[in-house]
Amino acid sequence: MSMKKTGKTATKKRPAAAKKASAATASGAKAKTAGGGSRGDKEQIRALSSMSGDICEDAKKLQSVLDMIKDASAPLPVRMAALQTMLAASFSAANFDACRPDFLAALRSVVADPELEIRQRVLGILSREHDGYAQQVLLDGLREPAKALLPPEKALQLLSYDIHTEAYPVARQIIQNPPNPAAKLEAMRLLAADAASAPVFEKILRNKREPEDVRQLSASALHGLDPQKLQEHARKIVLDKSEGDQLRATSLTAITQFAKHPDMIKDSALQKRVDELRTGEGSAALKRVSRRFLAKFSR
Amino acid sequence: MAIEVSINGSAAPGARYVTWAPSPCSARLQAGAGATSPITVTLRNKPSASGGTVVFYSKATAAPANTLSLTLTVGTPVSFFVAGEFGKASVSDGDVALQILNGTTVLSETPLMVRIRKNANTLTPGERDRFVAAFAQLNNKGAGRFVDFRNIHTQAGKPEAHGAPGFLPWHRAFMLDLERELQAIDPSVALPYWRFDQKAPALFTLDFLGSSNSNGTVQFSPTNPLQFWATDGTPGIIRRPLFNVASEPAQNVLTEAQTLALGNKFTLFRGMEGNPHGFAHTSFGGSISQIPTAAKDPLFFLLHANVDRLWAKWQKKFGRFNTTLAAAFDSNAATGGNRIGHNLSDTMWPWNGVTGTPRPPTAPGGPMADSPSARAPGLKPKVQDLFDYQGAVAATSWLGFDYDDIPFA
Amino acid sequence: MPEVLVGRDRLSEVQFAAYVAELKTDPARSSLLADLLKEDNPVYEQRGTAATVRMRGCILLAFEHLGLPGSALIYVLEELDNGRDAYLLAAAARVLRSSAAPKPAMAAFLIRALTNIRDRDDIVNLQNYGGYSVSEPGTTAVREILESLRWLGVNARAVLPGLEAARAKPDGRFSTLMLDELDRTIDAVRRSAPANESPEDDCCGFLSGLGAIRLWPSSSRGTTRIHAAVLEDQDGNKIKFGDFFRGQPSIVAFFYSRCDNPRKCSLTIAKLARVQTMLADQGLENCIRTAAITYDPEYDLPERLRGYGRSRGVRMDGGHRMLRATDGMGALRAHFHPGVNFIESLVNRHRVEVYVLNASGEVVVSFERIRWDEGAVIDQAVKLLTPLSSEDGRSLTVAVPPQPTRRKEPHSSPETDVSPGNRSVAREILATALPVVTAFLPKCPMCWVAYLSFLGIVSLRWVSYATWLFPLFAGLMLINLGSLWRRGLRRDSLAGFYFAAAGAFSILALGMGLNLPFAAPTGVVLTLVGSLLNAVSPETLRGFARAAPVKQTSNASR
Repeated sequence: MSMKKTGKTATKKRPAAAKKASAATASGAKAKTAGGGSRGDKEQIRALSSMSGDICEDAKKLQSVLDMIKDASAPLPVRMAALQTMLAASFSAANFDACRPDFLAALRSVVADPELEIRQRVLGILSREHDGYAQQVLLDGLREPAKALLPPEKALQLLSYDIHTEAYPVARQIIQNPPNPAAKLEAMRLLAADAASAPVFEKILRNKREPEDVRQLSASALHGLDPQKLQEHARKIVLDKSEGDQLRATSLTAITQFAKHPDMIKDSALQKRVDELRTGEGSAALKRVSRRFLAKFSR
Repeated sequence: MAIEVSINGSAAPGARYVTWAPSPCSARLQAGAGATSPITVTLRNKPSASGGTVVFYSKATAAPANTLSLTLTVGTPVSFFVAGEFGKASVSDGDVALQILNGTTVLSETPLMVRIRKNANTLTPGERDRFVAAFAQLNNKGAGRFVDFRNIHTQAGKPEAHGAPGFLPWHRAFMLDLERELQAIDPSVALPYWRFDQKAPALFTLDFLGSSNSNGTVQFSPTNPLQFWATDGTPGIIRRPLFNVASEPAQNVLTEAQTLALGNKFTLFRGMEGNPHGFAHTSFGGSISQIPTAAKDPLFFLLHANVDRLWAKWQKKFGRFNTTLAAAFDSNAATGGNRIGHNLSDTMWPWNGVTGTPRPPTAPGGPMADSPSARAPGLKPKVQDLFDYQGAVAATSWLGFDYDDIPFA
Repeated sequence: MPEVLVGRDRLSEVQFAAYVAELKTDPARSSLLADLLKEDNPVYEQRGTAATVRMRGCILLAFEHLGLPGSALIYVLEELDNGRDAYLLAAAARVLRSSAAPKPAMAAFLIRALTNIRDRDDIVNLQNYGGYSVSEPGTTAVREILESLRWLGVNARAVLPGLEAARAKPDGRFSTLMLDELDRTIDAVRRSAPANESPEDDCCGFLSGLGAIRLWPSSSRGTTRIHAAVLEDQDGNKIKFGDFFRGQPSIVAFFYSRCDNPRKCSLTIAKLARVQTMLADQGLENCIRTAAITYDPEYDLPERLRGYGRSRGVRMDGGHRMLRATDGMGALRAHFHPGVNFIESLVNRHRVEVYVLNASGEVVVSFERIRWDEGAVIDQAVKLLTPLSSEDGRSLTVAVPPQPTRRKEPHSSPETDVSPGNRSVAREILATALPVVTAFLPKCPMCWVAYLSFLGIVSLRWVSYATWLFPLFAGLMLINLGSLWRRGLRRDSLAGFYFAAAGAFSILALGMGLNLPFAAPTGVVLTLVGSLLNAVSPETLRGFARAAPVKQTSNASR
C-alpha cells in the first residue's frame, strides 16, 4: 500500500497558487467572474445554464462539463458557469447521485488550480461535503503557509463546516498570533464549536483592549456555549459607561432578544441605564435597541 | 349590546389573520342588557390612514364589498366572509379593525391583520425587524427549534424533497411549517420572499439578512439579533455572493416571465427546479449553494418563498389549483407513478413520521405545525394537500398564506 | 499497544500506516489489528474524524491480505450497517470478501450499505492511504458492495428480489455503468444456484456470535464512584447517577446532538422513543426507566437535550430523561466503557450503543455497533423484573435485584424496588421486611463473624471461665466493622458503619471496660441497627416513605 501525500497535487503549482492566494481577494475574483467575457463565452454560459436538469443522463455531456471545469486554459467565467451547472444539478437532477463520484473526483483534481476563484469555489464545495482530502489540504496550508492554496481566513472558514476536523490547535495559534485580523475572527468562529473554549471567549469579551468586532464575535460565541455567562457579561457591559456603543448595542440586543422577561422587569439598575441610553448621546443604533428593550421589558 | 365576532371559525385573537382569500366569519348578538332583536348592523373597516384594508362578502362566492349589512338576532351567529383587499396588506398586527355599527353607533371593533408574504426588498423597517427577531428566536443561538429545520433539509432527506415532482409541494410544506413556527413567536410575521430575478439591495444589508464581507462571512449590525445565529454548533453564516447584490439579480437565473413561460403543464414547469431554483442557490458560495448545508442560511427560506411564489403565480396563470387536472401535477401514471413521497396521495416526510427504507432513517421535527387560523394541511400532509393554498377549490384547503402580487384565484 | 502510540508521542498517520503494515506482515501480532478498531483505543485520541476514517480504512484493508478474522467481522458489518463514508464502506465491502466463508446474513448488511451510500458515493482509491482519488482511476463503494454481493452468490439469494426491483425501476441513482454492474450482480446471484436451493439463513446464530449483544460478567460491572456522578436532565434538574439508576432496571442510550450521521445518534434516540412507546403499551413505563446520555455534555445544555429529544418523540419525565454529566464524565466512561473518542471536547467517532442496567445501576447487557432491535432490548430489561400477582389480579412487576451469586459482599441483601403506584402498603412492607430478615440469616463466613462478634462478646460476662475468648470476639467485631466500612463506601452511605461502630464502642469500652449496666444491650441494639441499615438499600428505605403518596398518585391516575 502506498502512502499518498495529499498535498502532492497541490505542491506542483504551489508557487503560483500561494502567490495568488495572498494577493487576490474574493471581491476581485467576483468582478472577474461576473463581468466581461466574449460573445462565445456568453453563449457557452447560456448553454450551460439550461442543461442542469439532464446533465447526468448523458455521459458525454457530463464529461464535457467536467472537462470545462478542469481546463485551466478555459475562460474563468465559463469554468465558473460549468461549476454552477453541476451544483444546480446537485439540487435538481433526479440522477445526480449517479454522477456525483465523477464530479467530486473532478473537483479534487483542481484544488490546486492556478485561479484562486476556482480553488476557493472547489475547496468550498468539497468542504461542505466534509471531504477529508480538502480538509487535509486546507490544514496543511494553515500549518505550513508556504503550501497554502487559500488565504488563512478562507481556509479556516471552510474548515468550520465540519466541527470534527483537527483545526482547533491551529485556530488557537492563529488567535494568539494572527496573520491578519480576518484570520483571527475566522479562527474564533471555528473555535466556538469547542465547548471547552468558552473561557477563551469570556476572556476576550472582558478585554477592553481587544477590537470591538473581536469582542462582538466573542459575545456570539459565548452566547452559544454558555448563555447565562454571556447574559451576565452583557448586563455589565450595558451598565459600563466606558464601553463603546457598538458592543453595548450588541450586548443590549442579546439581552432584549434572549433574556428572561421577569428578570429584566425586576432589574431596576438596568432599566434605569437603558432609559438613559434611549435619550442620551449614544449612537442611533444604541438608542434603537434601547427603545426595543424598554418596549419589551417596560414595567 | 355586545356582539361576539368569530374570525376563521374562532373567537380567539390568534385566529384574526386573513389573506386575499375569503375567511369564514360570524357575528352573534349576545343576550344581555340593551340587546334588541333583530337589529341591522353594518360591517366596515375602521377608517385608518395606514395599514391594511379588508373587504366583505355575504357568501364566499359573492362579490367583495367595502361594507356589508347583516341582520342579527340574539344568540344566533350570522355568517359572512372577510378578506384582505388585494394590494392593501397590513404592515403590523391589528392595523385593521372590523367595525360593526348600528347606525352611527359602533357596537364592536375587532382588530385584524391582513397577513401577506411580501417582497423582502420592500418590507418596512418594522416588518423587517419583527421578522429577524422571530427568526433569531427560532434559532435561539443554535439551541432552538430551528435545529429541526436545519436537520430536515440534508442529504438524507434529499430524495423526499428534490429531483422529482414533489419538489414544489414538499417545499411549500417546509416553508409553511417554518412560517407557522415563526408566527408562534410573533403572529404578525409572514415569510418574505427574495425575488432573485431582481436586485434586492434592501435585503442584503446589515439590518436584514446581513452583508457578506470579502471572505464570505456575513456581517450584521449590532442591533440585529441574527448576529447570534448559529447552526451545527458554529456561530455565523457563510454566504459569498458571486454577483453584485446591490445592483444585480442572482447569477444566470431565469426571469419570472421566462419561468412562467416554461409551459402550462406541471411536467414542464417543474423544470424550474434546475433554473431558476438551482441557479439561485448556486449564485453564492457558502452554505446555501449545496443541499447538505443550504438550510443553515436563513436566506434559504426567502429563496424558497420565491420559488413557491413562482409556482403559485403559475397556478394562478393556468388555473392549476385542482389536483384532478392532469396538467396540475406530474403523476407519471403511465410509468407506474413517482417514487414514494412524490405521488399526490403520498404523505410527506418528515411530517408523517415514517422512517426507514425507502424513507430517510429518521424524521426530525415531528408533525406539521398547526395554525390558530388555518386547519389545512393537517399534521401529516399529503402531496395533494399543498395545491389549493388559497382554498379556491375547497375552502377547507386554505393554508393561511398569500403573496402580495397574486390575487385570490 | 506500544506506549509510543499514545500521548504526546503518538504516531503520525504516516507512522501509523507503517505500524499497521508491520502488524500485517507478522502473524503473531496481527491479532492486534482488531483491537485497533475499537473507538476508545488511544490511537484515536485528538484525531479529527477524517483522520479516524483514514486510519480505520487502513486497518480494515490490512485484513484483505490476512483474511478477515471473526474478531474483526463485527467492525466490517458495523460499517456496512451504519457507515456513511464512501472510503470506509468500500473498504468494508471489499474486506468482507476476505472472510472465511460467505454467509447469507451478510447479504442484508450489503443491501443496507447500498441504501446508505447511494446518495453519498465517491470514487476512492483503496491502494492509497486515506483512499483519496484525485486523478487516477479508482473504485466506488457501490461497486465494491455489488462485487461482494456477487461473491456471496447463492448466499445473496434472499436479497435478489430487491435487486431485481431496483433494476426494474431505477430511480436515477445508478449511473449507466453501475446499472451494468447491477445486471452482472443479479445474473451472478441467479446463476449461483437454482431458486429452490437457497442456503438456510442462520441470521440469528450469525449475529449472536458477532458480539453485537454483550452480556457483562458480574466482575466487570461494579464501579462505586459512578453513583456519585452528577447528571443534569433536559429541564436543568440535577440528579446523582445512583439516585436515578438504582431501584429499577434502565435502558440507556448514548448520543450527542451534533452527530452528523443520522443512522447513529438521531436514529438511536428515535428508537429509544419507540422503546418508550412499547414500554407504555406493555404497562411497563413506570417499571423500567430510560435515559439518553450525551457524549458531549459541555455543548449539550439542557435546552439542547430537550430539543433533541422532543423532535424525535422522546418522552421526558421523572423516569425518562435526556441527561448530561455535569460532574463525573470520567466515572460514566469507566462505568459504561462507551465506544467513543474525542478531538478536543468533540466526538470524532463513536459506535451505536445501548445498555440495559439492573436495579443497582450495573450494566447487564449492551447492544453494540449493529442496529439494535427495540423488542430485544426491552426483553433484556424485562428479564430483570419478576411478575407478582396482586389482590385484584392485576399484573405487577418488581425489579429483580442482582443475583446473589453476583454479589461480592457478605451481608448483602437483595435490593428490591417496585413499580410505583401498583402496590399495597402491605406489599411494600413485605417486600422490605423479607430482605431484612434474609439479611440477618448468617449466610457466609462474614455473617458468622458478625454474629459471633457481638453476641459472643455480650455473653462473655456470664461465661466467667472463658474470659480468654474476649480478644477473639473483639477481633471478630473489628472485622465486622471493617466489612461494614467497605460496604458502606460502595453504597455511598456509611450510616450502618457508624451505628455499628457506636455499638462496638458501647460494648467494648463502656460495657466491658467501664462495666456500665446498659452499655452492652445498647451496643447490641446499635450494632443491629447498623447491620439493618447496611442490609437494606437506600431505595428500599425510601420506598417506605414513598409508599403512601405513591398509592394516592396511583389511584388518582386510574
